Order: sequence, then C-alpha cells, then structure tokens
Amino acid sequence: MRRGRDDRGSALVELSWLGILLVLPVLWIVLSVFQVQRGAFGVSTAARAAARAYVLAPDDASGLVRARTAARIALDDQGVHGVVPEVRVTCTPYPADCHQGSSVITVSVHSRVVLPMMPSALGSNRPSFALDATQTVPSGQFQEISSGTPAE
Amino acid sequence: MVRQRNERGQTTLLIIGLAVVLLMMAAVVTDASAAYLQRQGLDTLADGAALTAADAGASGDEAYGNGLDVDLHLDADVARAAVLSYLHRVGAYDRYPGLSTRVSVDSSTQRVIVEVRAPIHLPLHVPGSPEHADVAAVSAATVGVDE
Repeated sequence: MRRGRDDRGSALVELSWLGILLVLPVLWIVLSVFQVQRGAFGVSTAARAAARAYVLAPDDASGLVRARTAARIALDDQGVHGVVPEVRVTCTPYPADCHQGSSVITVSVHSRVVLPMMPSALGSNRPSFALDATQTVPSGQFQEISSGTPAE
Repeated sequence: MVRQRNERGQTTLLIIGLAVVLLMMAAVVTDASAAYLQRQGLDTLADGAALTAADAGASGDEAYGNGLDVDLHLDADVARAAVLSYLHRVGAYDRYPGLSTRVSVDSSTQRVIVEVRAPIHLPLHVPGSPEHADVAAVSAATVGVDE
C-alpha cells in the first residue's frame, strides 16, 4: 500500500515556522523580563545606597553629589550601564535644609531599561521600561536644628 | 511497507513544550523578583521604623530615670507608638495593604526590634506556587552614647 503523502521534510517546515513565530517572541519576552528584573534590582539597591550616602553627608549639596554617585555605582554593579539615574530628595519637616535633627529624608531614584534587540528601523524612540524606587531614612532627633521653621 | 504510526506533529509538540517551559520560567522569575522587591521595600520600612523607634524610645522615662549605660535605656511603649506614627507618616499602610508590625525591646542589650510583615500578591500564577504568601523583614537599632 502506498501512502499518498510523504512525511519527509515536514519536520523542517514545522521547525522553521514554529521557531520563527513562537520561540523567537518567547525568547524575546524572557530576555526582556530578565532585563527589567535586573533594572528593578539595580534601582532598588541604588535608592538604598543613595539614601544612606545622602544622610551621612555633612550638608545637602555634598549629600546630593554623593547620592548621585552612589546610585550610579549601584546601578553599574547590577549591570545597568549607560543610563543616568535621576535622584530626587525630599524631606520633612524642613524641606529647605534636610540635614537637621528629626528630619525624615526620602530619596527616590528613577531610571529606565531599554528593551533588548529592538531594531531602530521600527522608530526613533526605542521601547523602554520606566523603573523607580524610594527609600526613606529618618535622621534622628539627637542632632542640631540650626535654622528654619518646620513647614506645615 | 506499511507505516503504522504517523509522525506528523511531533516537532510541533516539542517546540510548543519548549515555549511553555520558557514562559513558565519567565513567570517564576517575575514572581520571585516581585517577592524580592517587596522584601527590600519592607527592609527599608523596618530600618526606618527601628531607627525612629530607638530614637524616640530613648527620650522616655526609662532613658532619664534609670542612669546612664553604654546604650540609652529604651521605653517600649514610646518606641511602639513611634513605629506606628512613622509607618503612617511614610504611607506604608497604603503601599502594603495588610501590613502588620511587632515591636519589642530587648532589655539586656537595649535594642529595639521591629518586624514588619505584609502579604504579597504574586503577579503571575504558576501551577504549584502558593496562593497566599507573606513577606517579612526584621530590623534592630540601639542608641549609643559617645564618651
């Protein structure tokens, strides 16, 4: 008995079609998840390091410089290169001068992760994933309050 | 010669199986990093709460009435109140619904120990993963005296 159709070569066709249509997008999703995860860990560590550096600095200006440096080092350490993190500092109850007794300092770090392997032909702005992390540190009451009145 | 079994579709099965395994791996990684990030967030809260509690606890009756040691004596009730007001102030209850705390003062070392615990909502469900999970963080602080 002869079979009408031969199976030879069909595996190759299935492999190429399914490989292109299914496995490549899935691999891209997995790579993107890893990339975003790395960025999230990096930003979270950066916020912790930046807040610590800021609080330990003698005044606000040098604190901000140290916080930016610490955030960049922490992100570099997690393998997030080429992105300049944005470091924002707010504090209560003395918003104008954070290095005061009883002040509570909040440092937030914003960054973004560019999704991998998107050809620039698809558009000038490559798709990216925004990440942010916040760290709050109280500076303690056993410190001098040099100036200013608490804000409401 | 007669072929009993038709092998069409075998490769399809393999490739779809591979894709399913890859997707499940991505889901597990997503869940694990969500749990890790929540733990880091709770660590932050516990650190801040312990510092605030040690700071506030060292201004109660215990600190001024019981003499001076290497570390200041801490008042447990004042420390507990300070933790609660700190958590409210930084918006912890909004960020982590169901947050619970435990504050204790170790009288031998004069450390205040703060434990914060919150349930986590896992973003993706993988077969075999727990329905409900809690993430907790513990932090301790003390107030030293400079000689």
